[in-house]
Amino acid sequence: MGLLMAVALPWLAGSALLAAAATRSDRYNVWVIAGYGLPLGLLITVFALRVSSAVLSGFSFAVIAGLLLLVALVAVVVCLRQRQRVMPSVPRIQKVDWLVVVLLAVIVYRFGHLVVGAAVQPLVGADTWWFWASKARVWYETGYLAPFVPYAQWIVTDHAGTMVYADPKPGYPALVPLSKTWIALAMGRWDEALTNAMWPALFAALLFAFYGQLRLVAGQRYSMLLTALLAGIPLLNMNVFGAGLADLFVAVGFGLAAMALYQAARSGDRWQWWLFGIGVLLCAWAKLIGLLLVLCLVPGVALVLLPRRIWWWLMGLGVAMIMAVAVTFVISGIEWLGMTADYLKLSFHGETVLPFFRRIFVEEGWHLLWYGFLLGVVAALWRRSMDQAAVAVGLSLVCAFAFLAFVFTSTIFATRGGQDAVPRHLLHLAPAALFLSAVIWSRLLGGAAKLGVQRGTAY
Amino acid sequence: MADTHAMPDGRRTAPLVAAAVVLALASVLVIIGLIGAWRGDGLVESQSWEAGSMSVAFGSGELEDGALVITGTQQNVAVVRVPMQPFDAGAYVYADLEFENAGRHVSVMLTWNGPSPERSVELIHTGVWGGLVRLDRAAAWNGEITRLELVAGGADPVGVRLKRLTLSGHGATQSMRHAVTETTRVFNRAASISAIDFSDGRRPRHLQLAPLAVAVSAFAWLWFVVLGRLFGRAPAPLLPMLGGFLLIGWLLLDLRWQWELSVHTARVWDDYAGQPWLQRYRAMGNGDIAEFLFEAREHLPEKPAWVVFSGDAFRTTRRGPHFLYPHSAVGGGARPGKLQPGDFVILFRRPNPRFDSANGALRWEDGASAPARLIWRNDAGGVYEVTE
Repeated sequence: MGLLMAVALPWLAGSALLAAAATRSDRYNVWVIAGYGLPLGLLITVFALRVSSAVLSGFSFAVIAGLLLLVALVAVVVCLRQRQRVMPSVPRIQKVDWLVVVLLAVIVYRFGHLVVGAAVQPLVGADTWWFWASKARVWYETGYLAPFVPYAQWIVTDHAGTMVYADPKPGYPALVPLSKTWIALAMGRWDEALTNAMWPALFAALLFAFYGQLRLVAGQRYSMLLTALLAGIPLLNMNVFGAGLADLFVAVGFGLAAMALYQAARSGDRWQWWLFGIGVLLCAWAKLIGLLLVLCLVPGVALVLLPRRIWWWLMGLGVAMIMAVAVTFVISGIEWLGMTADYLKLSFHGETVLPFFRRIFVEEGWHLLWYGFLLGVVAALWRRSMDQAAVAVGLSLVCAFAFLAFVFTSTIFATRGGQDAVPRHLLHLAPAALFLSAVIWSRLLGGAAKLGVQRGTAY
Repeated sequence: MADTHAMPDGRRTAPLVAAAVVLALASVLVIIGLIGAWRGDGLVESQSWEAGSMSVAFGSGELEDGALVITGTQQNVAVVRVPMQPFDAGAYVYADLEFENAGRHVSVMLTWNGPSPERSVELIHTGVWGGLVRLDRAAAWNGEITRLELVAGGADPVGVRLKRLTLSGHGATQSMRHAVTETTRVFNRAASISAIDFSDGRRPRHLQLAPLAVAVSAFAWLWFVVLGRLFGRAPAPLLPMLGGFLLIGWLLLDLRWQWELSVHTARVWDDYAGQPWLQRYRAMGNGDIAEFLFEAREHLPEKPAWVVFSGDAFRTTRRGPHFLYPHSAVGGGARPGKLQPGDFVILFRRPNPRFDSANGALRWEDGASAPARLIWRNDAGGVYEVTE
């Protein structure tokens, strides 16, 4: 019961808020609301946990649960008062599409497998043991945000004084550990498997959002087919099955932001910009790489928001600023985000380029994601069929990809061992890349992909 | 792209598609055979030994295959001696063990005949997919390592049959990289499980299915165009047709992945669902340290204490604190200068330092010491409290 409440309350509150805020939008449907609702609710919950720890000197599940319930109730009242305009009607099944039903069954079947893995296994992977679960467990047991410090500081701290803790990454963001702490608080006990419930829930939210956003531009069959493909990417699956790492949060956040950016760029819809903000916050607050990936969205946003005549000037200015910061970073030797130029060993290693691409196209379990993406982009450019929205998302993805290519060919990570981390970083881009592939291919395929596309409350 | 033609009659197109796919498969197989003959030793840098049809059961003492020598040493344990070629960049070696009825955890230890075994090997990780082992960089590069010994056993070893052992070398430079390597390896091993072997009669090779599917799709598309022109049939829209071939390839990969996932899920369910936590840790290969620390923490004060935990290896040292929270536990080498009075020191399978009961001190091999009292001890280690 506690577990169910821990997932359902944030989901309900976030979804209700989004539904209430969708008053002037025609770029929404119930799936989009459900997909972005959980991340919004999670962000609110984690923020509330932080405030609760600071103000009430400890976590209070009852207070936060009550707050979430209140938010949900107020939002639902607002929705009901604007029912004609806002509330999506209950889907009316006029004709059962056997292909959609089969695809949905495949997704549910796979999701069931992933839930089993997440629910019964002990923690998988070193990082989960070392610094994601450590904070969650300590914060649950102590009942407040007990401070984590570097090991060197732990040694010199007076052990007769205030208790502090240490792990290999004491400064990492609190979003992921607090999502586990929240579930433990709701259950009233620590269970290192069940506290990972937010991973399958977020995965489900991603699928909802993906289907919903795609449904706004493509037909039902096509949208469900592409959602089934997303649900089957092996590396994404394994991050749910062996839950506990922050990479899924980053992937979901970046994917949500990219999808909302596409819709906002197509329509200028303000509500979709709010959804974009939710994705950005989730991505940036999950871990450091998420913050850096969010910066890669800036060129895409600039392309959409700024007039074409000054866009190139601003882009040039941005590149110049990045160069200036990079040069300063290298020359001054200052430390940024715990790294220095000396540590990063900045120099291009040409021999690592091919292994980098081999990781993407040959060795890893992506199915045919990157091939389809590449072929779609090339074909769309060839036929000049990419609209500005797709270009904006594509530009952001190119920036993110270029950033990762730089990291894995020109820094300390440009080794064969270092490149072992390529797949899990590319995973962050996978949902966004598949969404862009989907919209590109829907244009390339023409009418076949558009059957049944609806505006407004589409299913 | 000539994709604006009208969609042809499906009855006329279907035989063309089928023929194109068959020809594409044949084309790809021929090309792979040619590449294999040219490269000689496979497409991925690795060494692989197969036990063949006469699978090896742990504890049976059977010998298999001229290259893979397996000798049973005692019940539930097998020793595998592997003639090993030096790796070109071998700071790390992954030992991927493939079992006929995998899913049961098998603990793995490796040693070799290098110049200094104690210095040269450290077991980083074991799991249902195999073990990750760090070899000494210099020894690997200098070609001093020419044989590995693998000792394997498990909770249900009689039911586990070793099918294949693959060693692959990867370079890395920093110890902290272990974390990334381990995590990534575990995930990647499962995620990239869709691999296929082609043998040219000498050595199995690993080619991932994704590029294979893409190659078949592309060839099928080309053959489709060629056959369409040869037989004068109306060509289908080319771009959607290529997309369709790719989609079929994707779905086939997904079918295989779903099968692998289903099998793996069933094993996970059997091993973990409803089991006590200690049993789950055992199934995952952390039973030794979990069992010890569950008992050790009973001897710590109820109020959170400051604890330094040292294990016998990097893996155990890093994982130990997980079992000790909410005590303020850190994993690292306990040294006198880093300890304060009232701190607890937990040592797991470490010969250094030793507890000097006569003088009430922890004593290190280099002569350093710290006054301490013994709280609790068993065969695997002990709990000590620093007194001054």
